[in-house]
Order: sequence, then structure tokens, then C-alpha cells
Amino acid sequence: MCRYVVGRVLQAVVALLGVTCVVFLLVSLSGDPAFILLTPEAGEEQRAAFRELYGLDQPLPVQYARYVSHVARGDFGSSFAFNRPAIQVVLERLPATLLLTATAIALGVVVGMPAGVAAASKASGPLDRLVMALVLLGQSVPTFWLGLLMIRIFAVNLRLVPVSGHGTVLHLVMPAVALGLYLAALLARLTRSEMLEALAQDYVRTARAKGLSERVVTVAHALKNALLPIVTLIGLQLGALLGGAVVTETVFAWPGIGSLVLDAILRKDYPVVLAAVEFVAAAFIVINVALDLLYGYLDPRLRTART
Amino acid sequence: MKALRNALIIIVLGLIVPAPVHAKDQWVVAFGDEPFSLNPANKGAQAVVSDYVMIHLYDALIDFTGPDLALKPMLAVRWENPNPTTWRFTLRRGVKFHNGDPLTAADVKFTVDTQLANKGSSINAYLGPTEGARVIDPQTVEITTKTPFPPLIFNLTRLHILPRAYASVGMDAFAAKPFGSGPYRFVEWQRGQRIVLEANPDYWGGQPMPKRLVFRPIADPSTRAAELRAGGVDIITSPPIAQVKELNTGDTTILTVPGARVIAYPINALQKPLNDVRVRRALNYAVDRETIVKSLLGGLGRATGQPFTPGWLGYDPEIGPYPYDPAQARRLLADAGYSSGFEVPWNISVGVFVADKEVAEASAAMLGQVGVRVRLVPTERAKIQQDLQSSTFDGITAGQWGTVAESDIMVRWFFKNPRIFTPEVEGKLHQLVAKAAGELDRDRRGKVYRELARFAHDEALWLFIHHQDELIAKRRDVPWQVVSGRGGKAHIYYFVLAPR
Repeated sequence: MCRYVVGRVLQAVVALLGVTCVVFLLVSLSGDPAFILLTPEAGEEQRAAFRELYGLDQPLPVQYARYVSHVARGDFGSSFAFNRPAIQVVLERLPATLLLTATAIALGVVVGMPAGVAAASKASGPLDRLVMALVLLGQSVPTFWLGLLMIRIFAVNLRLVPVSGHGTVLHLVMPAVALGLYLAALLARLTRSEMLEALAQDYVRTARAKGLSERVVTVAHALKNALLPIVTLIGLQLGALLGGAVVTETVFAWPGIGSLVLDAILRKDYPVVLAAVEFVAAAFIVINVALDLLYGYLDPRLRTART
Repeated sequence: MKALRNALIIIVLGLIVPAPVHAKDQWVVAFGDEPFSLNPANKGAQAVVSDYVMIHLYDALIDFTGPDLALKPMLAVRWENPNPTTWRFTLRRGVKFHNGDPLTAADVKFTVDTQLANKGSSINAYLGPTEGARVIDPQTVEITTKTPFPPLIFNLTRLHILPRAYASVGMDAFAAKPFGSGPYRFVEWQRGQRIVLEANPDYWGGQPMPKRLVFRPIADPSTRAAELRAGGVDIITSPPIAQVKELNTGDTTILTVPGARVIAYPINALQKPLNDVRVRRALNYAVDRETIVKSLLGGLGRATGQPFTPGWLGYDPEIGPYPYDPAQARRLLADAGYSSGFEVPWNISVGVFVADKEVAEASAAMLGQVGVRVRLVPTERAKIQQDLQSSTFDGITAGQWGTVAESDIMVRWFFKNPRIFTPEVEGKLHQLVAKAAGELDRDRRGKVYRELARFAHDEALWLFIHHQDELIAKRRDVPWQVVSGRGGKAHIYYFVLAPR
């Protein structure tokens, strides 16, 4: 078990190095930050001084080596734009991102999974058709459009919630719903198909033959066995959302990591981009390890296969 | 049980719904972007929007005002040139920083020294050949330049005067809780969410209004417009063009300010066939600007044929836009030996300026009508700037002409640094730029700039299209109007929105 975790962590370090290298190259080759961060008022003299300030006058391999050695010591560098530690710039956006992610995922699970289970247990019935129609809608409606529509109806016309921003529970409602509905659709579809497969298994017939109630058969027998891919999907979405939901955050002016990173990319502020990417990559790795452990709990066969 | 639950709900709602501040006392302003820092001496970068907020926290020596952007006293009540390289300022008495320290000549010297040392910054460029500052007495300070530098007086309108205490407070602590002598005091900054300022009751320029100012970054223009309509904010910049009509009804209204931003498309006049002035003029005759402004910008702009905009030094009302004349364009192309047209690349920005992509696409289609086959290349903004400054673009490129203080900086950016002109044209341009830079008399400098504008027009150095109106939308009950200048009132960019 311990060896397994250590192995994963080592893998993770290699993966992180790879990720930083690619991102570093992509961002530094796509333009000179001095031309975008300094307004045109600055002349070549000022741009040269700016490059020197942040070591951008050095050859790329030197810059990269220096960056990696600093990161190894926990120093993610200073944001070119904000002139503050890049990791601080990223982490101060974390609470907002965590709040939105957690709420959206909770909403997705609470709405999506029961809908999927219900649809599967009445497959091809009217309920199933309704759920699948909603799923199609939920997955194909662009988030920004749904966001703007909700703003129009609930914030501008009905004045039930604030249009945008962050601060109170009411501010959270629309972004969480916009993001959560998409997740719910995703989860409902997957839950339905996994449930259909599980419900056709022999052990379900056995359970029914034993005289168990349909409810117990569906939840305790079929759903538990259908959970593996669902948990994987939730884990992957969790990782992706920690990187920020760019569109949702932008539409609702939600101060999360996504909009920050988007701006940082446009500004060529790559210490911030890299710090965020490393944070997300690290989160992904943690989630992956956690998922692996969870698989073992959910499916005892995997536990024995690994040891 | 139910009563308890209801009571709990009421308590929770009470906690989450903030008490409304009286609308007259607080104005919320939404920009598309957030400042990088509120420290004017931030090392390195500074966003344009930073200045919008900082002008409330700090004062400059001089301000400009009126439609002709005339200079007006601010911290300096008088100024003079004892000689062409010395500027002597007499300071206003009794001005205090927000921490209570008096503002004296030593603070001005400290600011100049600090920004001179802040080499990797835009503000450093404003100082040009400035040598340093000298304290004559607490109310008198002299700024000296190595060579005569007339634009300095205009550029000083951008120099926010820092307190000497900056040095003892330290850069990071100052940036976290900045203070100046301006009409508003810093209250708090929740990153990505809001900056809150409160009126400085001791402001030398009188009681500022409103009592509180809140700046919010809202990147999406539709969201900004919705916030305005819902009453969540009072003023927004750059509302979506498509919603201008809607925002001009009901509780909200649109303010239009003729802008200083020209959407400019510099031409590489060294490359064949663009090195032929007939070809460059043909490009200009082939574009129907009026239609572009009317249909793509909703009429919120002006067709133009020169770099300068009304109100700015160098603007010449005599120079109109090239008329739309495709027949003339074809004739000129035939004269130049390109009757069957030619192919040319054009680097454009996408989504950086209002309808930038659409304007370029429409222009490209019109050029196609006269046989010029344009290849539009969407290009990143940093690359566009870099390519223009190092002359490494082919064909046509995009540029942003936007004067914040003095035209000198833009003139050099477009006509001096790029090596994209034939020797005769370059010689003339450099001669004019140098002449204007050394001319202390503002009227005479304006005359040189007008000559430059005429030359750029006649030589068709750009594919001229239009200059944009700056749009601001506000709640009708917010008693602001656009007047230029700055003072004890809240203002945006170089235009004050002052109570009527």
C-alpha cells in the first residue's frame, strides 16, 4: 500500500515536470510579456529593464532551469502583472473556486444520480424519455447562454438574485446551478447506462428471486456495482473544476481560478499560469490516488488484484 | 418546531443579505478589468485600468481640462520654464496626505526619483530625458531634463505624487494599503471582487461626491449591462454595442464621449507593392468607412483619415477621411501596374477592441472588390505590438493609437520606431517627430503635428478606418455627466463624471 502511494507520488513528480516544461514553452514562445504588460507608452529602454527585472532576457533553457530550481524550493516566482508571489495570487482565488466546485458537484450528484437511477429502472418509459430529453438539453445548452438567460430572468426581471459577484449565498445560486445542471446531465446519462447494464446482471435476478424489494435491489445491489465509473467521472470533473470553470466564472464575474488563469494567459503572466497549472495537476494526482483507494473499497476484487 | 425553523431562516437571511447602503452615498463602477496594483510605483507592469482607480487616490502636479484638454493647476498652482530644460513648480499650500503628512516639494522629488529608478515601467517612459528633481523650498520644486522635453508638462498629469512615507512603509505594505493626497481614501481590496474607496473629508479640492466608491471587475460586457439594469452597479464602461439602444431606455442611459482611440492599420511601406503610394491610396479609397461605422459600430465612431482625434494636439479638421471610391482605387492600382490586383497578409486582433474582427473582415471584403486579396491573420496582441516595433510584419498590421497624455509617445510608437518606410518618407517623418519633440511652444508643436497628420494622410501610411467613441452607461438617478478634467469628483479615464 505504502509502496503504491510512493510510486504514484514519484510518477506525479515526473508528470508535473513534464507539465511545467510544456506550459513554460507554450507561454514563453507565444509572445513577449514586456509588450503586453507594459502599455505602449513604454519604450524599448523600459521593456529591456522589465525583461531584466524578471530574468526574461536570459535564454529559455536558463529561465526554465532557474524556474524549476526555485519551484523545488517552494518559490513559484512573482507575478509579472501583480508583482506579488504567483502562488499567493492563485491561492487567494481558491476559496471561491472550492465553494463553486463543491456546490455544483453536490447539485450534480443530488439531481443527476437519482434521475439516472429512476430513468434506468423505468427504461423506455415516459420518465426515462423525459430524463433523457432533459439530459440532452443540459449537455447541449452552452453554459454562457444558460448563464445569460438566467441572469436575464432571475436577476434583471425578477430581481431574485444578484447578477454577478461573490459574497453571499444568493450570489452562489446562479453559477452553481449553471455549472451543476451540466454536471447533473452528465451524471444522469452515465448513471442510467451503468444502471441498465447492472440491472441486467445475474446477481440482480438472484436478488429479486430472493424476494428483496425493488428498492433494495436497485440501490444496494445494482447501484453499488454501477458506482465505479460514476465515481471516476465525479473525480475527473472535480479535478477539472478546481482549475476553474472559465466560462461560468466569466459570465457571473465569480472570482475563481479559471478567470484568473485566462487573464494570466492573455497577459503572458506565466508565473501565475504555471503556479495554477501545477496546483491543478497536483490536485488531479491527489484525486487520482484517492479514487484508486476508493475503487478498492467499492470493488473488493480490485483490492486483491493490486496486492 | 416549525416556528424555530422559520426563525432560523430569518436569522440566516439576515446574515446573508447585506444592509443596503443609501444609493446616493455609494456609487458602484464596473470595469472590464482589474488593476494590477494601486501602487503607482509598482515594479514593472501596470494596467490601464489601474490609473482609473489611482486617480481617485492620488493627485498629480497638473491636470488637464476642457474639450481642448488645456492644462490646469492641481498640486502645482503655477509653473514656469526658467530655461528650456528646467520646470519650476509652485505647490499648493496646506495639502495633506491621507495619513496626515503634509505634501511638500520633498514628496514631489521623492516621486520623481522613485519613478526614475523604476526603469521597467511605463511611467518611467513618461519622464523621458528627465534628470531629476530639486527642492528649492517646501513649496517650490524644480524638475530638470537633459534635453528640452516639452511633452513633460502633459506627461506629468500621469505622475501620481507619492508620500515620502512610502520609503519607510515599504513597497509591499504600501501596495496593500496605499495612500495619497487624492479625493478618496483606500478602504479595502478584495481581489477579483471589489475595491472600496471612501471620500477624503479633508480634500483640498472640496468635499468629494459620492461618499463611497466601489470598483468591480466584470469581464463580460453582457453581465456588466445586466448588473446595470438590475441596479447592482451604477456605472459601467464599454457596454456591449448590441445593447446600446436598450440601455438608453428606462432606468439607464448611455453617455458617449468622442474617444482618443484610433483603430489604425499601419502598412509596411517598404514591401512591394505597398511601397507605391498609389497602391496605399488605392487601399484607402476602396474602403467604405461610413458603412462600417454605421452598421458595425452602430454609428458610435467617426470615419477618419488622420492619426489625431478632435481635442488632441495635432488634430486637423481640414483632413477628412478618404472618400469611398472603388473606381478611383482600381484606376490607381492599374496605374501602379496591378490592374489584376495582388495578395496581401493583414495581422488583426480578435476581441481586443470593439468589433475589431468584424471591421477588418468588412474592410478585407471591400478590398477584395477592387482586386486586393487580403489574407487575415488573427494574431496575439503582444505579437502585434512586437512586430510593429521591430518591423517584422508583412503587409498590413493592427495598431492601437490611444493617447492618454501627450501625442509624443504615440507619434514615436507609430512613426519613429518602426522601420517600415522608404528612405524619403522616413526622413520626413523623423524630421517632423524631432521638430515636435524639441518645440516648447504648444501651438507651434501642434502645427508640426498637423503637418505630420497631413503627411501621413497624403502618403496613406495607414489604412485609415475610424476612431471609436468611448461608451459609458449609467443609472439615470446617478447625477453624473461627462466633463473632461479631474478634481474632487469621481472620474473615469481622462473624463470626469461630475455632478450636474
